[in-house]
Amino acid sequence: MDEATENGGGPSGALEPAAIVEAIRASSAAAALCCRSALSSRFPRADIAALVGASGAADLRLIEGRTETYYFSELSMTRAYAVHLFHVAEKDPLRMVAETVREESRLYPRPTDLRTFLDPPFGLTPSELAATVGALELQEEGRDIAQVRASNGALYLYCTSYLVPALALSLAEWIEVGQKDNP
Amino acid sequence: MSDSTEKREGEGLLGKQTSRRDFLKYAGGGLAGALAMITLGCATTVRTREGRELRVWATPAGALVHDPNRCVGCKRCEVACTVRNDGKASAHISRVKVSRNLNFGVKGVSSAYAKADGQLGNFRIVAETCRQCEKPACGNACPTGAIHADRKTGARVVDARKCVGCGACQTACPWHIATLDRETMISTKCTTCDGDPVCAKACPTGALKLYPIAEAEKLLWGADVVSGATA
Amino acid sequence: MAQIFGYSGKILRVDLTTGKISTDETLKYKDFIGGEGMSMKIMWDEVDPGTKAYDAENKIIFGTGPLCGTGVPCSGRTNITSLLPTSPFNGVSSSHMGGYFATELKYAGWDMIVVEGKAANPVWLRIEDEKVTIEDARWMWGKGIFDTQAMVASFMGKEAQAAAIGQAGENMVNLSVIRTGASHSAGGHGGVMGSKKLKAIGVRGTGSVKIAGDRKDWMELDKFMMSIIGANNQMVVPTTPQPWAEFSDKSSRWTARKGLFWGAANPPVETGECNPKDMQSVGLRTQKAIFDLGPGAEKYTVRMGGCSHCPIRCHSQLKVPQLEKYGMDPYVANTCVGWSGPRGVMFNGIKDFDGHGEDSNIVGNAIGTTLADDYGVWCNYAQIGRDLKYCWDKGVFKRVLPADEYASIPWEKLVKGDATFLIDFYDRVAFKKGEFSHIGDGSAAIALRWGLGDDYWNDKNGKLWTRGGYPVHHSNEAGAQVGALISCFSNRDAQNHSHMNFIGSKLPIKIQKEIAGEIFGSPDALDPPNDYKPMNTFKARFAAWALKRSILHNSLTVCNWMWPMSVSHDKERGYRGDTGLEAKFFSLATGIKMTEKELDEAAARCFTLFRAITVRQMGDADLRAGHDHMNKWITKADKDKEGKEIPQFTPGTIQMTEEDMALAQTMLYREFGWDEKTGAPTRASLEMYGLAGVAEDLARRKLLPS
Repeated sequence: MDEATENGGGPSGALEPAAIVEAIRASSAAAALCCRSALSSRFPRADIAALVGASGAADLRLIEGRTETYYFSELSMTRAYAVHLFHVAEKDPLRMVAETVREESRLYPRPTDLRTFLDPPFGLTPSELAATVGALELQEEGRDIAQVRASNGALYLYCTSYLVPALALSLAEWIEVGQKDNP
Repeated sequence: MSDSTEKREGEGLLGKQTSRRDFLKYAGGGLAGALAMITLGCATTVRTREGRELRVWATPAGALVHDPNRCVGCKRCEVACTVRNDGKASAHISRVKVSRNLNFGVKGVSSAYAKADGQLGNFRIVAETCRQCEKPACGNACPTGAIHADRKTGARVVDARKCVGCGACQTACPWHIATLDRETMISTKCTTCDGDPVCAKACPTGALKLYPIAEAEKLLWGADVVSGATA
Repeated sequence: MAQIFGYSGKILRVDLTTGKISTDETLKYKDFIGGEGMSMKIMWDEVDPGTKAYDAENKIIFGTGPLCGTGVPCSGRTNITSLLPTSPFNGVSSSHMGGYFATELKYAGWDMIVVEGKAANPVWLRIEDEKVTIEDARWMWGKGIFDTQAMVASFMGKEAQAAAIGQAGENMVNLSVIRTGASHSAGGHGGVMGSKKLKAIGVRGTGSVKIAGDRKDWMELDKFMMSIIGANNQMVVPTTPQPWAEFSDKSSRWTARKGLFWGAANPPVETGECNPKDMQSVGLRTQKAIFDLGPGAEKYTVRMGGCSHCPIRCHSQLKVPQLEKYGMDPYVANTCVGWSGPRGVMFNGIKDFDGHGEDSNIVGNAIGTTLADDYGVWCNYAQIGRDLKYCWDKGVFKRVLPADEYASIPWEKLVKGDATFLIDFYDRVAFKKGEFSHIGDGSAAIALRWGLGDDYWNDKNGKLWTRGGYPVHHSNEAGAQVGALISCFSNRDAQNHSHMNFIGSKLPIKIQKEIAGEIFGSPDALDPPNDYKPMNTFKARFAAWALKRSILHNSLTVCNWMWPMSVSHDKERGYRGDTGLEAKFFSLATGIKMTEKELDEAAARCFTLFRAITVRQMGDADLRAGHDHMNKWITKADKDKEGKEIPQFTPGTIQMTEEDMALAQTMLYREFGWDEKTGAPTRASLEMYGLAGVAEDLARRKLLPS
C-alpha cells in the first residue's frame, strides 16, 4: 500500500524525520494510508511513532488498528476517507459496514445503500457483502443495525439508535424512488 | 533600441493619433521604405542581398492550444480574456475564438450540420487560438509596425498606441485571430497574458493550455491544421 | 449618453402588426433590476387585464439582466415573460432558457426584446448589433427547431444564436417551448410566438458589456466565487467517497470519480476525482448523463454542455447511434426533466424494445427528447405524462375520443413500454391531430374539456399543485412548508431552486441547520429530511427569501439552478457559501452600489408587482382562496400498511395539514407585507415598495384588500 519516497536519511539517519513525513504525505496524495510496519521496514533504525510525533508536521494523523498503526496527512486526505481505508486495511467487513452505517445514520441522517460497499473505496465482492449482511443479523456487532427495503427492491441498512423505522423507510424510498420522480 | 526612442518614433510617424485616412495617405507615398528603417521591439526589418525586405521575429516562448475533445463550450476563456485585457466582457474580440465555431464548427453551417462539428451537430467544439507564428502574417501585414514580439514572452502583441485600426492583421491572419474592436478601433490579439494566460486559468476542464512553442507548434501544425486544434 | 455599465442600456421594441422597430431605455426600469423584474413592469404598464395569451395585444419579452454577459459564473440564462396559455386565466408567467442566446443579445447591445402585435405572415427577427430587421419566414415555417436554427445561421453567419419555435409553437399548442442551441428550452410560451407568427429570433453581437469596477477586483471576486461553487444545483458533496471530501452522498450530482468517463469522446475523457482545489476540473464534476439516464449512459456521453459563462456543465450531450434506425440524427442532448419529461409519457416505463436490450431506456429517452426538442413540445414539468396516465387509467380516452381515433392510437406500445409510441404521440400533439392532441392543451384545459373533476385534481400520483394546472416542483417532498409555499405563487410549476440549492446540498443536517440559523435567524427554518415540524416564522422567512432570490436571479440574469451560493464545499469556510455574492457582483458590474438587503428588497418589489398583476388579471383580491389554494392530496395524511393514518409531523411522512399550511401562507404574506387574510398586496405594502401607482390602479378597480 505504500509507494512513498525512498529513505533520504543516509547512514546517519539525520534526515529520517523529514523523509518519514514525506512518505506519509506521498501515500495520502496517492489516496492510500501509510502503515507503521511499512515505514519500519523502510527506516529500520527509526522509532516511527516518536519521529512522527516529534516532526512538528501538524497535518499528520494516525488511526490505531488491532496490530497496525495507520498514518495519513490531512493535506490531501480527510479523516472520513482515512477511516474508510482503515476499515478496508483491517479486513473486517462486519465492522466496516456497521460503523459506516452508524455514522451515516447519525450524521446526515440517512440509511445506507447496501451497494455502496461494492464500490471504491470499500470494494467488497457481492458474496462478501452478502455474508457480511448475514453476519450482522446474527452477531452482536449488528445489534443496532436494521434493514429496510425501498419499493423498487433496493436494500438499505440503518442504525436504530439514530433512525426510527418509519423514517428509515421513507428516506430509503425517497433516495430510490421519490428523488428521481422529483428531479 | 530603448523604449523611449521607440515611442518617439512611433508617435512621430504613426502614433495613436494617426487616423486611418492619414495612414492611407502615407501608404500611398511609399511607406514601406520608411518603415524599413524602424526597429520594432523584437521584430527587426532587414533587407536581403536581393533587396527584399524581411522581418525577423524573435521566437515566442509559447502558444495556446485548445483541445476540442475536452472543451465544454462555456466561453469562460473568452470573457476572462477580455475582462483582463480590455476591462469589458465580450466574445467577438476575445483572443481565444470559441464562440464563432460553437454551433456549426469551423466550416460553418451546411445541409449536413446535424453531423458536422458544433453544438447543433456532433457537439465537437473547435476553438481557434493564436499560433504565435514564426512569421506572423498579422505582424507582417501591419502597416504601422504595431504588432511586435513582446520582449518578455516573444508573443506577437499589438501596441495600441500604434494601431490605426485598419484591420490588415485580421485579414492577413489565415485564421483571422487578430480582431478589430469596433468600439475602440484597435486590434486585439493574443498576448499570452505575459506568459500566464487567464483563458487557460478560467478553463474549467483543462481544455486550454499554454505549451512551450516547440510543443505547441507540433500540436497546432499537426494533421488537423485547419482547426488549429489537435491537442 | 453617459457610459452604462452592466446593462447594455437599450431595450429593443418590435411591433409585428405595424413592422415598427424602436428603441427604449433600460435604465428607466432600473428599480426592477432587469430580466423578469423589468418584464413584470412592462406587462403591468402595457398589457391590459383580460388580454389572452394568443391575442395580438399580449407581449412577449425576452429579458437579460445586468450580470448576463459579464462572465459571472452561471449567467447565461434568458428570461421570457408573457401571458401563459396553460394558465386558466392566462396569468402572466416567466419561462427561462439557458444556452448562448442571452449573452449574444447583450453583446449586440440589447438588454431585452419586447415583441408585440401579430404579423400577417410568418416572420423572423434578425438582430445584428444595432441593425434589426423583420424577415420573411415562409421557408422556415413548418420546420423543426434544429433546421430553423440552421436556416437562421445560414442567413446570419455561423456565429449567430437563435431562439425558435417548432411546429408545436406554430400550431399554438399550449404546451410548447421556445428553444435555443442544442437543448435549451423555455417551456410554455412557444404558442405565444406562434400566435404572432414569429418563427425565430436570430442575434449576432460583436460588442461588449462594460464592467464598472476595477478589473482586478472583478477577477478576484470571480476567483472567490469559483472557490465556493459546487456541482449542478450547488451540490457540494461528491457521489462517492473521495480522499479530499469529508462527506459523500450517492444522490449528489457531483458524480465525478476516478474511472468515470465521457465515454464517447475521442479519446474518452476521464472526469477524475475533481478535487475542488483543481480549477481545471470544475467542469468535469457533474457527469450528468449517468445521473439522469443511469450508468449505461457513460459510453454514449460525448461531453457535457451547458450555458454561457457557466463552469458547471449540466447538459449531457450523447451520441446514440440507435436513433438512426428511426431516421433521427444520433446526437441528442438535454438535462434533467428535458430527458425525463418527454420520456415520462411512457408511464409504464420503457421496456426492451426493437432489440435495444438493456439500453432500451436510454434509446427511449433519446427518442423522446429528440422529438420534443425538434417539434418544440413542452412537458409541463413532466405533467403531460401524468395526465396521460390518469386519463388512461380512468378510461377518459375511451369516453372522449371518437372510436376510430381511439383505435388508431398504438396503445399496446405504450402499455408494454415500446418507446416508438413517442413518435406517434408527439406527431399528434405537435400537429394538433384529433381529440387526443388536446392533452397538449395543459391540465386546466383538459379538466374543463374532458370533464375531469375533484378526483383528478386531488390525485396524489397526479401531483397537480393547484387548479392552475401545474405540478409540484420541489415542494413539501423535499422542503417541508418552505417548498410547499414556494409552489403556490407562480402560474406554472415554481421553477424555484433557491431553497433546493441549499436543502439539497447533501451536507450533514447539523451543518445545514447551523447555516439556516445564520441566514434565516434560527436552525428551525430547516427540518431534517422527512422529519418535519409544524410551521414557524423562520420557515416563512426562508420561503420568502427563496421567492425573492428566484425573481432576483431571473432579473440579473443568473441561473437559479445554481445560485444562491448558500453553501460551499470548503471545510475551511465551515461549508459556508456567501449569500451576498449577487449584490457584490451587481455593484461591481453596474457601479450602482447595492447591499444584499437592498437587492433582496428590490426583488421583493418585483415579486409584489407580479402578485399585483395576478390580482388584476384574476379580478379578485382573494388570492388565498382563488389562487394559492393547494389540492387536497398535499394535506391528506398518508396511511400505513394497516390502513391507519400516519399523523403529520411525525418522522417518515412528508404530508402537510390544511391548518398548518394556512398558517404558513399567513406568515409568508406577512413577510412581504401583504394582506394576511387574502394574500393580496395592500396599499401600504405597495407604497413601501415604491409601487404607489400600482396601488392607485388596484384601488380604482376595487382590488385592494379592505
